[in-house]
Amino acid sequence: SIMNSTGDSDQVHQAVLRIPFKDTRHAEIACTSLSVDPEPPRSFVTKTIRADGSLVVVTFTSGQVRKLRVAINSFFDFATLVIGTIDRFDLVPDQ
Amino acid sequence: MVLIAMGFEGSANKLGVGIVRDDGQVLANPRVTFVTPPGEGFQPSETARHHQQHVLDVLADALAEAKLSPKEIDVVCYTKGPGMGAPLVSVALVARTVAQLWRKPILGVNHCIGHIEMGRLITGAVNPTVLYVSGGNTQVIAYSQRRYRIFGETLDIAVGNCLDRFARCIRLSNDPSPGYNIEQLAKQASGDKFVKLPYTVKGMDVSFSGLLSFLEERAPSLIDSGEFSQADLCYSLQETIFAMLTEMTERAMAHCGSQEVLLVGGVACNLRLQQMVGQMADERGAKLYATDHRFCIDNGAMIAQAGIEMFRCGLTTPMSDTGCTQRYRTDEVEILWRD
Repeated sequence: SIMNSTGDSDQVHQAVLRIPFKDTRHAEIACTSLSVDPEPPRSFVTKTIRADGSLVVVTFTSGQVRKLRVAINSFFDFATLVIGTIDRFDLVPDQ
Repeated sequence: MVLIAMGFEGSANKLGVGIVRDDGQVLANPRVTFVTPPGEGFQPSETARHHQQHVLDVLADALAEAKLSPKEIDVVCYTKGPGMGAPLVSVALVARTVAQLWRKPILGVNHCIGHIEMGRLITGAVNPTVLYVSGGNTQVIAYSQRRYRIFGETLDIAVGNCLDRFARCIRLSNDPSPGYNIEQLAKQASGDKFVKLPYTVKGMDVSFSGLLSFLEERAPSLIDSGEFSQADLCYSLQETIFAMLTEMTERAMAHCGSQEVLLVGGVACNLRLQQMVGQMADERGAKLYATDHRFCIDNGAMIAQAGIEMFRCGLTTPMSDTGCTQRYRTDEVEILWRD
């Protein structure tokens, strides 16, 4: 178990999201868009994001469960927006 | 070769997507505004949610209005800052995603410079002293040696923020905007009743927070006494703050020997402000330039216009640098497109 800087918990809480996309191209586009912005300061959450084939894998790590929830909620709003953009504005094949 | 830029703007409560051609034609500029109930301002997370809900529709509207397909866009521009964090990011996410989907370069644009470049385009002002006044910003700007230099600014809150918060104090509607409703109400004042408010110009700068506190503390009792109406207070507020802005602008114009003054930003829509600054300009033999609500108020086309200038100089933003920043000074950007 790990003691983090807040001394809050000696448990490291982790959540992993696996988001499927139509193909590798879409997954990499989503991953790129979503990896630019840092987590807010004092969020106590570390986020990693990577494309694994047509899957986007996002890992959230925190010493505090409720901080995890905040980070994941926020991420879902942004991910939903990116997914919606891809669904609606991808080029049709002949473009 | 004709260049076409798309611009995304969402740094405050306005969400706009604009399309501009490099010959100066604005091909599309749809916009939606997040309006809160009377007495309430707009918070970052609810504003971000509003932008997330509307941005894809506004983007579709822009393409439809311009009658363009994505492949005809040459560069995707977005507001990098300054502004509110989550709203900025919400819009940047869409810009990054379509730039990748459509295989186009992306450009992060300074919001203030968007206002300036759109003002110059629409009015034709060549080298004006710029008074940039909005809910988030109050600056007097003049171009010198590849920078938009800040000659004077607010030491605390923006003049538009002062107006917005006074509107909340007297529970005015925020539809279409609090400042617009203050302007209309002020017109109803007779002009005979004037509340003396703290007039605060300090050197080249101005300050509004003391004036706002003074007015917020006294407004309820002034109105309850029956001596002053809401209209009288709106009138007194406008006369005072606009005189301060006019003085700050005149000082900069005198330093620069300027013959042109350009008003930009949401507060620049105000006809009384235009009249006051216009009168000052006349007295100096200078000319006033102003646009209308389409371009004064935050919009996507202004981001596209500044973006086109940057793109023509060969600038693009690497995807890893397409973050957003709440603080972004006007003079941080090198203005390569002017001598």
